[in-house]
Amino acid sequence: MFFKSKPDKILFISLLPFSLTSLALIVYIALTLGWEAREAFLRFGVKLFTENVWRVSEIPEYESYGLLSPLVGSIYVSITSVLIALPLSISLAFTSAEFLPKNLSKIVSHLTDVMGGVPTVIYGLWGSLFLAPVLRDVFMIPLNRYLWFIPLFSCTPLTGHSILTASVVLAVASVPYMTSLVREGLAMIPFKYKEALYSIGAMRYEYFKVLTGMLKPYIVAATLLGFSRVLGETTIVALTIGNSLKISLCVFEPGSTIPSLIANQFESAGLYKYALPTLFAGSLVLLLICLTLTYVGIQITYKWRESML
Amino acid sequence: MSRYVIEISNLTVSIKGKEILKKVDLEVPYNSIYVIMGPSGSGKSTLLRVINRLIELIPDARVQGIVKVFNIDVFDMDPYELRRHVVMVSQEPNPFPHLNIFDNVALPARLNGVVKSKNDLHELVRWALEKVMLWDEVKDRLKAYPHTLSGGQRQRLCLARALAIKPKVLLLDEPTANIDPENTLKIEESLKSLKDELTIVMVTHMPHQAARIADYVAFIYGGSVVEKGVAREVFMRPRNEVTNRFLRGAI
Repeated sequence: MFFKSKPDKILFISLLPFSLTSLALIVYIALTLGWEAREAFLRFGVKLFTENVWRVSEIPEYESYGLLSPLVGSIYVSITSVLIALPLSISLAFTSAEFLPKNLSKIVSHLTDVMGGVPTVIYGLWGSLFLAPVLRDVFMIPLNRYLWFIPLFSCTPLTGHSILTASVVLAVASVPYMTSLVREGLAMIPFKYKEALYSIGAMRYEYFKVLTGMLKPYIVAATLLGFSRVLGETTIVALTIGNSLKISLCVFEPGSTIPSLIANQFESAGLYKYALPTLFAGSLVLLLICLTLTYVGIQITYKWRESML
Repeated sequence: MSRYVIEISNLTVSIKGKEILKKVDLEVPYNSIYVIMGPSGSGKSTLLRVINRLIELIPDARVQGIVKVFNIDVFDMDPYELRRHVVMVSQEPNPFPHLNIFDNVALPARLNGVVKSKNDLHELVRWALEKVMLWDEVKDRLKAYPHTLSGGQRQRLCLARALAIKPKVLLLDEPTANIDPENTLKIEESLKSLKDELTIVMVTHMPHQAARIADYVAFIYGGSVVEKGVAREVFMRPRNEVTNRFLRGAI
């Protein structure tokens, strides 16, 4: 083979099983999900993703499931939360990397890194018990009262547990991750371009403007990666979204996502013939979306890095 | 008014406690090409970066002494204002990869608000590209990106970008170190033609290049100015033995 020395060969061969295991595992997981979901696919077909029902029954013929609402909810919540998290992350990354004095910048970046280690259940509890009522009182009620004609704000009753609440908490939880992504991107811009900007007299805000332009593809990638992360987040959503199967444009309405549906229904789903396969079908779709987004995101990052050289 | 656009006196710079420049005195007359030559690591680039205060981007750099541009101490000036009058071109070509050829040259002018109309901007870009003899090579593909250009063309693009700010002083940090002889000659031609409009301070480690274009030279060695003066005199009759050895290529 391509090894000249014996130790190299031995090292490679002994590492092989471990590396292959990790790679094989993801394929294996996808296959298991598909296998477990087969009954739902066979029984409901495409309707599994185009209809919005969750009717359980002891008698299998009466069972009917359609994942449209959690699917739409997943995408809606993820988009909203990424839209909230992105400007926060870009500002935080820029401020800590380029504007703050070195010592302070270190403290800020350590803090954001530590924030990333906070268990999501804590964000979820905080969102559910503290943020939801606050958002309802200071944000949802006034907006609903004065801007009721905008469909985004038009729904009642306002319980606080809603798509918006879930999105905000998800955004808070994903800011550390996305900030570190953007910061990494900034650090990857070679110094020669930063020097070029200063040596033609660019001021800080112009510097910010040009670097953001340069970072654009990378920010798209970071958005996709953040999106795929948020899409899979379970605890936060299950605790804050209100868990309803309604499909609505209104962000004050409770909703559900595929992970939150799984978390909520998993225990009872075993009692019915088609409920569990349906949940597996949902998780398979989730897996495929997340893998695709991550792949595309990473590809963009690589391409961008090459263009920077 | 002083005869000199740049006056440096008693300048000492240390980075992380190590002295890079020692008690440097230098005077650059208006509308001349002043070449600072010396072997690698002699502190030439650092000297340039003090003049436009880019030295401040280097952590742990300490600057002592007086550096005046247009008779004003640079450390009393707004650094951004200073860098718009005293523009620098680096050794490695660094056009912005996400902007096309036109936008690269137009960027500083857009930032500065030098031009008012679209037409003026186009004229300015054309003027700058013509000055560096790049216009004929790129006029049909102004929308192309810099990675489609050769290294030498890219460096001329950077020079054009610097010129589009209409600076009064141009600092050049070994602008031809990484490019072929043909492009080097083109850049040197451009520089000679620019002398009427601005003052050029160029750093190089190649004595031949200094001999070709300099009006004045300073020879820096180990962080100190060993010899300086009118180029012709320094090249014909170097007073210092070290200068002599450098000019003969022995250092």
